[in-house]
Amino acid sequence: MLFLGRKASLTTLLRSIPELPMAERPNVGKFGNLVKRELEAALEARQAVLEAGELVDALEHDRLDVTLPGRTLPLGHLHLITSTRREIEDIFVSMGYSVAEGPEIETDYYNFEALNHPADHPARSLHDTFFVSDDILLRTHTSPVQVRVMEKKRPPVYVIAPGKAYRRDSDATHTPMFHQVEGLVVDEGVTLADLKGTLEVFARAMFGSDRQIRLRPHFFPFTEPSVEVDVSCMICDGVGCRLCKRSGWLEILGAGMVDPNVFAFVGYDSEKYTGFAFGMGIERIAMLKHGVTDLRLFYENDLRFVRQF
Amino acid sequence: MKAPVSWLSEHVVVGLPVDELASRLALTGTEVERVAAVGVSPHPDVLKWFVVGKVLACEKHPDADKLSVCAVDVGEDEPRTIVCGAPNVGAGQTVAVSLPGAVLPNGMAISKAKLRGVTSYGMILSEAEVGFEAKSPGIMVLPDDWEAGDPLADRLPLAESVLEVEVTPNRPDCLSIRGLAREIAAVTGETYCEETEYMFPVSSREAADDISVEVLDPDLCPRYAARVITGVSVAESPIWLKARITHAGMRPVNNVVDVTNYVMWSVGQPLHAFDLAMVEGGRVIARRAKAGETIVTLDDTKRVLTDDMLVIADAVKPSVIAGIMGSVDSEVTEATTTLLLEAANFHGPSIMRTSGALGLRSESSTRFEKGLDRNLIPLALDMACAMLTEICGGVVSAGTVDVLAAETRPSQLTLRPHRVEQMLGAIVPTAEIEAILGRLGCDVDEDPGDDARLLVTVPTWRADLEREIDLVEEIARIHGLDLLPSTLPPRTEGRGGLTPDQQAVRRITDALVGAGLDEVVTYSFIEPGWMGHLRLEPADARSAPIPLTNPLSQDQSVMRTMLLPGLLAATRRNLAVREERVHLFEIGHTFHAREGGLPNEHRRLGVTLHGPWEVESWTAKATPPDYYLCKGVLERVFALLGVRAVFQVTREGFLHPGRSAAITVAGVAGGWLGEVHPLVSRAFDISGPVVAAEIDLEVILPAARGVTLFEDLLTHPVLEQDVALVVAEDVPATAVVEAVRAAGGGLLRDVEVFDVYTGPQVAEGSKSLALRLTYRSPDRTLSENEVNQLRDTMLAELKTTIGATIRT
Repeated sequence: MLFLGRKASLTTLLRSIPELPMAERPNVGKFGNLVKRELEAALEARQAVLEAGELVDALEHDRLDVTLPGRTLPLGHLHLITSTRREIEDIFVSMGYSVAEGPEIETDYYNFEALNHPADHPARSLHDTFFVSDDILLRTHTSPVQVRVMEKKRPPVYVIAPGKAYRRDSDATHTPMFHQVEGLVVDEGVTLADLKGTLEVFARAMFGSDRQIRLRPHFFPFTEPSVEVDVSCMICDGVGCRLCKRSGWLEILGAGMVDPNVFAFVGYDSEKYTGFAFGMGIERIAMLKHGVTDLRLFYENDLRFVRQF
Repeated sequence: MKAPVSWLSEHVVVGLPVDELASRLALTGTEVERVAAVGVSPHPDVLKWFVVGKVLACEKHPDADKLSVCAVDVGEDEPRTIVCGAPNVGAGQTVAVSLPGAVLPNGMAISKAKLRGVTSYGMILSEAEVGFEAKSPGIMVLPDDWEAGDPLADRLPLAESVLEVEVTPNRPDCLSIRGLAREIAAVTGETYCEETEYMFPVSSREAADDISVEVLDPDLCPRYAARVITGVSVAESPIWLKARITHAGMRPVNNVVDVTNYVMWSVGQPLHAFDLAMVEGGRVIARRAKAGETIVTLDDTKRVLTDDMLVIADAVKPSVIAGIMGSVDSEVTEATTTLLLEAANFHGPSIMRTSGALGLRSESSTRFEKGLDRNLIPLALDMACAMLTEICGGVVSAGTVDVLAAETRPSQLTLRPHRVEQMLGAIVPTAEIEAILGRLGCDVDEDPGDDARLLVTVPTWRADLEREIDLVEEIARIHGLDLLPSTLPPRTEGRGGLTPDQQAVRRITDALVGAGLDEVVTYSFIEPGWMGHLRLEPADARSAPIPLTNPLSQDQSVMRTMLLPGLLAATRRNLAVREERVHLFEIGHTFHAREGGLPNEHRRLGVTLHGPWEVESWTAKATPPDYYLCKGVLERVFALLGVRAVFQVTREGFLHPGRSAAITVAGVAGGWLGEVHPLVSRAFDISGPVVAAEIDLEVILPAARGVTLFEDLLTHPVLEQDVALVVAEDVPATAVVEAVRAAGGGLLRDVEVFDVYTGPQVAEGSKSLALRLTYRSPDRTLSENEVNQLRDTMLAELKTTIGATIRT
């Protein structure tokens, strides 16, 4: 105030410059302004120190209990079937596969006939089928999508088909609706050894890099040779435990080389092209991976289950 | 198929321990579900306490009416005293004895015991006590030529291992002991042997003198052979036979039935024995049933037949549903003396259809439905005649009445060894290919015309080997899949990945999870009553879901047309376990009937919100979800997809009439949103409000934006103006916004409602909407004046279009 106020000496001095002789005006002005700036800077610095001190004091007294829980933002959960389905999809997508989908209510032709299950074939009795009419049914597997894909596209085919399937069966190990992922590869020179290698990549990505797989011959009407595929038990590492019923192995899927009859239905030349197909239950994969012990939990939709994953 | 190992061992040396055999079978394609140890423990320290005994004396127990005190020679210096409760025990019998130290299959340990004052030093056994049958009326009486003290295990299958094998439908040959033994020989390299020649007494009388066989429907019955056996005595089977039948999982009935079952188990050919006296006119007619014809089957059930089912009838009545089950009238009884023994071949698909239609399966039908080898019939008849005459007595009439439509001959296939490599991705040497096929019963020759081909003659019991690829599979499984390398496909073209729609569905799902909703998966088939709860108009197509013709139960009998009922049921379930915050969503198909062809399937997103939105905590009070919360959730999904959705007032029976909106996207109906009608919530046992929505993804996804193009929003700033418009209370906000957009001119880029007011400051029956108008020009910075003019023009127009005045 003493120097910088409206009536202060410095202000008065600066205001009186016009009255000074022309020769002195620049020097006085320059010097006067310099003094003024320095004074202002010093004042600001002092003020900052004082304010900082106040702030420190204020902040010191303004405390939260940082250990109280944070503001709760609601967090939802994917159903375990969806997250497992995505995991499977991502593994195959990373290997260059596309994802195909198809209707859940299917014709007898796509569900059975074109998959080499002719009418009255005993293999049909393995599928307890839900019917809508004589030749329209709830698909008993996601395999019909194979046929639909092959009808639309010439080889090469690298595709997986995830989705719902239905069988007329309900007990501790079966639900009348379940989820499968079907896989299909058709190209020149595809072999059973390629199937083995592909499923090894899958099993290791899904269950851990030191998993082994083994193929056991089996029977499916639409593949030949047909196999069931086991993965070495992730609990006991193949030694034998309760989960794997002391065998060291857990069955994870069915597979095989596409039967030439199936190729005939879609007009593929089975001498030129060979292919493999596989199908796995999403619930089964999820149960093995996450240790879920009761299949029925997937469809009870109890949030105490859903929210765990 | 249960296969006692002792039975298999009659045909092949089982050199491996049973568990190793089971795993070898599993790795070559025959799944062994389990290996069951039945009967007594095979441990020698247990088995040694089971011996043959001779009852030297048998007297009534002094203090118990039903007990006898026996002196039994068990090959020791002195006979043992054994108390026995069986009614049929008597002096002079040869019996099975368990001595102290023995443990019975049921876990009972035999020890010295005092029974009503008399000490018993062992126990005389019945068949049931060692697992030879389910229930025995008395003790088992052994042949007299067995020596006292002989180990019983040398004579009877006391300790048996039973392989429980799951046979795939392509291998009916393995539904027999011989077939399995042949398979074991092929996969272990052991030699298979079988008896094919059987001797039995034959009378001078011809079978054809007493019976005739007419096959009226040879398409369903390609072969029917019958023999006659006279002078049989129907009685209980010998102990060994009962043991075998029981260990194989069947139930001993009498010696005739047990022999036919034994032969079926052994060779895989079902047989049927008729009491010839009950066959009217001695005529056997294989014909289609007359529609409505009935038969009372052995399980005492009256079956009504249709005209596509084959029966075996006599001159007046049907007596067997061919290949499935006989009637009570033609059953063999203790009075039977003359047998008509049938061995036939039936059309598999027809058996499967009939058995499915009647809901009746038997050991016989499960074999026939898979298609059996017609050439099994002579062997099965011979074996059965030999066993029957030995066990039941009697003589076989000369000849077989055999009606055969056509011979089955071994088929010949061509195999290219390079095709094996092409399919497997591994080389199997030709010599090994030949060896493998040889072990499976095939004859392999080189093709004289082409040395790159093999000619393979397939035995008739392997009707499943029809093509080259079938042989490739056989080679793969016997060669060993564990020897295959692991490689990856050659991949000649292309790339994979998720389609834009698949990616969009994932983004929607993630957004909902991020907003705090939990995903559920409910059944696609629902309880029809649920649709009834929804108060839909009868004309509404959603109220007529597609029914299943064969549901498992009423509560899963129709295909859902909406996701709402499943979500409400899932909500109720969670409320029942005291969950308060139930905010659910599901993405799944709904199913809609269509004339001709497959139903329409729509992938839909369903949402239901019930219970407090925020988690009650020290920072927040629980607030119930309302219409606007659910709308906000949907708007988030639409914003994410770049879809512009229009919400309009609507009416749905299942929604609150004043709080329901229809959603339209690009002019197409895309779903609804609203508060669930309290009567509907109540019908689902839910108290308190539920807000719900369903969106048809088939409508939304095509409208979702593709590639977003850059728009310069940076160079020229926007100019915002707030106005408050007063309109009649019943004018929806959307109508105001749409009118403002329409009247605003091209520079009006956005209109947002930021406040709604009703009260003393506006006229009654009116409301005030506060709008934020955003103006922007792509090529210049707008001036306040310019915008004011635009706004005033717009306000003037709004006065006429929606009667809006500016609030002052």
